Amino acid sequence: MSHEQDNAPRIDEAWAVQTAALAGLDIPRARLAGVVATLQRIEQLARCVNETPLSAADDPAPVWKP
Amino acid sequence: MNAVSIAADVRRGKQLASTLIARTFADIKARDARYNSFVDLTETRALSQAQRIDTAVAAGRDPGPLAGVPFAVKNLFDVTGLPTLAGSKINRDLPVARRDATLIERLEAAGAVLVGTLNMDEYAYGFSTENTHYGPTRNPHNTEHVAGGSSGGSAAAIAAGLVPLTLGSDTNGSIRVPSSFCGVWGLKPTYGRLSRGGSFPFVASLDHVGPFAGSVADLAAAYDAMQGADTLDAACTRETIDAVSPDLERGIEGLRIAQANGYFEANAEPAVVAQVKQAADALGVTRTVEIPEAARGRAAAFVITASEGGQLHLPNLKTRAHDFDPVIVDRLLAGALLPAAWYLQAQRVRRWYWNKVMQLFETVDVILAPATPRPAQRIGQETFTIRGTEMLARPNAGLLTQPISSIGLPVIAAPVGMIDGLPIGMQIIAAPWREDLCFRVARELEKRGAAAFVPAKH
Repeated sequence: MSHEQDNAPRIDEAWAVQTAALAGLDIPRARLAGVVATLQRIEQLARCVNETPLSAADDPAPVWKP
Repeated sequence: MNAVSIAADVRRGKQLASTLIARTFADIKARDARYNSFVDLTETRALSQAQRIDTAVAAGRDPGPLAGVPFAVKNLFDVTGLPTLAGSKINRDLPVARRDATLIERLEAAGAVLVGTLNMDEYAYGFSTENTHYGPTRNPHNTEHVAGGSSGGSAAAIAAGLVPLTLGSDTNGSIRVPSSFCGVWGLKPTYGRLSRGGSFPFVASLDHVGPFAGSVADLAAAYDAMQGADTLDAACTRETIDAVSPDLERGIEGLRIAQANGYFEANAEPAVVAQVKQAADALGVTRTVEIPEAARGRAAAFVITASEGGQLHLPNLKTRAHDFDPVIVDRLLAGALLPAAWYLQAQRVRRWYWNKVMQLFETVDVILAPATPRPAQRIGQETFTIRGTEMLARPNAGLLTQPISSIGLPVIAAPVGMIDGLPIGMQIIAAPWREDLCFRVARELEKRGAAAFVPAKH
């Protein structure tokens, strides 16, 4: 797989519509392109997050204080 | 006039609070149409509060350290009798607030007088205050340009000289970006330091609240009056009050101060970096440091913001998406769809990143960095360039603030200069709970003339 393909967005319109249905959300037709473009921008940043080399000892930031 | 001087005059009986507050309203009504910083005025309650202060002074009672100081708040703070709009049309349907937000209560207990609420990006999701429902807030230094956001009204009202003190919120830069764009002082305290009680949320993991002012002493006086734990905010549990006003003149001797390079240089225009360097030079700072993994810290904040923000508004997105501001609704809809694994990984990356930055703070006390990549863009401008790369203006105005709020560090935004007639700000960053160091450096910059609030000409 080329580097370019690695960075290609995996989120597309079909993914957005199906995931929205799971969330009980009906994305207005007029907003769909903007939502997909936004998702693709977030996907780029999520890639940076997901590639961070964490260990099992790296806890999530929020700590519940009962 | 600054807050500290106003309070001194009112406390001495040299100035009646009621006269001053009446004059403040006349000024707002005469001039704010140019800036659109205010949304609601609270004239009746303000005049009553001012009269109470005048009565207290006349009777020889202490009217409080901020006696008679007019202040205004971003309209996500609860104000008794008003719906908490948070820049939205949807919230007009909510019942009116039955109690003031905690910080309003604390400022009024110190004698300050609430005069109104201020414009913002809808639900605080933006860096420009180009609000479709209430109109854009205009930058008082050049009304063709944005004021920054999301606390744009809070910064513009100070820059225009309408009030000496305002409150805003900062999830990813919403105090620091408008401070930079409008040339005012702003404080984003440590996460959990100031209570968010009675404020409309955006991203619980990242939401902070704090003051804007025209001088370091005013910022400190407001901050000192607002500290303290609050059962209305689960993050605000610190009982200790670390007053900063008494140590403002302590200077910077012995402090290890450095200018941030790496990410913070690469993502700012050269002219902006030069302004930060000039401020660093004025303090005799020669050291540079790299805040490690800032890009990942920012990415984590971005994912968390999208996810928590989208989830918070999911019920209304399902039933009335058309009532949201079109400028933000795509981001909320997208955020509501993100995989849980991304969100949880982002929360773990925050902790990982925090550990690295805490190691850096073992060798340095205060870090100086640009607050925004460039000065304010024009209203309606979709893109801008940073070092030759074109990018979307609205999300990227926070490129340099997000890595800092991502892990809740205290920051003062300092007005350090002008570029092509528009202000630019610098972040003064310290380790958690060390706002005192930010204030000492800020005051020293002010004393040496390397940072100063310059009111807009009108």
